[in-house]
Amino acid sequence: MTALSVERVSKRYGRKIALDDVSFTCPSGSVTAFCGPNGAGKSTALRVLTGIVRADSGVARVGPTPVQELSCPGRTLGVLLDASAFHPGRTVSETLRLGAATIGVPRQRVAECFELVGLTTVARRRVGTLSLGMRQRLGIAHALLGSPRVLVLDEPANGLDPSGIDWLDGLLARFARNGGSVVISTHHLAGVERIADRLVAISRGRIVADVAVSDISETTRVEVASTDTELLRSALSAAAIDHDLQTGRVMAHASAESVGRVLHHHGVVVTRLVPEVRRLDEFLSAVTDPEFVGGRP
Amino acid sequence: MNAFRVVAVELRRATDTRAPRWAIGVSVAVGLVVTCTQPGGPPTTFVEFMSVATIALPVLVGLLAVMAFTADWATRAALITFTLSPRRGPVLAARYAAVLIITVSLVVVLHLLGAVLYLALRPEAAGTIASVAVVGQLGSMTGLAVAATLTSIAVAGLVLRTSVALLVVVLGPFALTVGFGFLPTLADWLGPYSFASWLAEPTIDLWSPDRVGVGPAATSFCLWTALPCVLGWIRQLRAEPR
Repeated sequence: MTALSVERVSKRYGRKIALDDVSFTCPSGSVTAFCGPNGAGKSTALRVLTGIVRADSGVARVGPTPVQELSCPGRTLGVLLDASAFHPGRTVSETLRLGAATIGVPRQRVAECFELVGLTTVARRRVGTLSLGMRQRLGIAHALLGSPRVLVLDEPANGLDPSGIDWLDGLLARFARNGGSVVISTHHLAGVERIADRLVAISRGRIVADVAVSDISETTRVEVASTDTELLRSALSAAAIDHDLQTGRVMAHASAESVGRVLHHHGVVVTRLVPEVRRLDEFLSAVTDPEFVGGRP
Repeated sequence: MNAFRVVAVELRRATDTRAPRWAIGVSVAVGLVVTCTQPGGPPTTFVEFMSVATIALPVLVGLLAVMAFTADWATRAALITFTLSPRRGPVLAARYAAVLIITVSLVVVLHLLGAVLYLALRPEAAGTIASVAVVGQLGSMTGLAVAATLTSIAVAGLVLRTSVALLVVVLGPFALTVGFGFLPTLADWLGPYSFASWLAEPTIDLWSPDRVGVGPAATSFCLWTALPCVLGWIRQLRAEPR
């Protein structure tokens, strides 16, 4: 079931096209990673998705309901767009209580959320005195206040220490396992590989990939070497396995198992058989086109 | 979301940080202390006592209104506020109501505190507390404070920056009053205080040589309250929290 959908959304700021006909869906019970280079349109898309920015055209929906028409969004859609946007002069507990009062949830839920994110000991401190990691935890608690079924988080791992990142990955994976839908915009690709089910990539305001994360790392090429390269290549040709010679390496377009079986059948001595695993960062680099590229120092 | 809850949240939002609490506390305390310690002792009537005690109230309520309307934007908390409540109209309306409730409450509380203090300082003049003149003074001060609040809300909602709004609200009227000094009639029509003066001393005359008439009051109200209020409302509905 689709928990969240973005349908043909476009948004322009003056001459700059921030989003160009963007569409994607996030199913229930899954984590969707929303990735792309800086300035690609991730934050704008999430702002449209959460109703804080109105799209020029297109619509974002939670279930069948357009986001702008949700009667109490905090109860359906938990949002963390910027952990630094909390009023620095308000105490941590007051920040959560104010959020709870806004969406009409009892104080008991505030205590539960405090405990969940581990901020109980700093409840009386002012938000301005918290580190970025602690503010991220506060933002996550704030997003969870209304027990929503969808979470939209923009860079939630920023500022978290390694154990905090582990905790966050576990929290989001559990949320999805319990039927919720999570959308995270992130550059933390190790986390994406660990917990995300789908990857939606955006570049220059356009969606350039919408794939299952497991499909990205699935190999379709194998690097193979032998004591007799000519014999190796003729064996592959005989088995109709496409292959090419790249800088002295034979790359066969088949799984390691089929290549191994063919070479074994032809009596080829194999000295190397390495499936090529495509990494997430390589995939993203291949499909996106960064707007901002630094020079060499 | 029901209206009562939204107003309650905005009341809380306007007073749950240190700045507004200190502003209220210090102003009330300073007003009462200055009144009590003026040369010659406390005045002989409660009306005179409160005239001094509330002298800074219009500035204080203006300050509170500016903070209530700009804090969200200045601290980027608008992103949180309008994510939880994407329909901005009801939130803004509730914010207006909350700031006006605070203004009127402050006037009443200051008068109650003043009455207790005055009783303690001049028990022999207790009879001056329950008088028609006091009711008139309370009404006049409420009118002034409400007018100051409305103007501050309007300017703050329009500029959305605390420092700029404070400059306009505090120094703007002063500069204009001085600037119009050579043309007092023009000052009545275009000055920011005319509506407040009319509220404090209402008349049905369109124009009057010795007090502010309906004409100058309405012009001042349109220029300093209604117009910035409408423009500010539109800006807050459209502005994108950064």
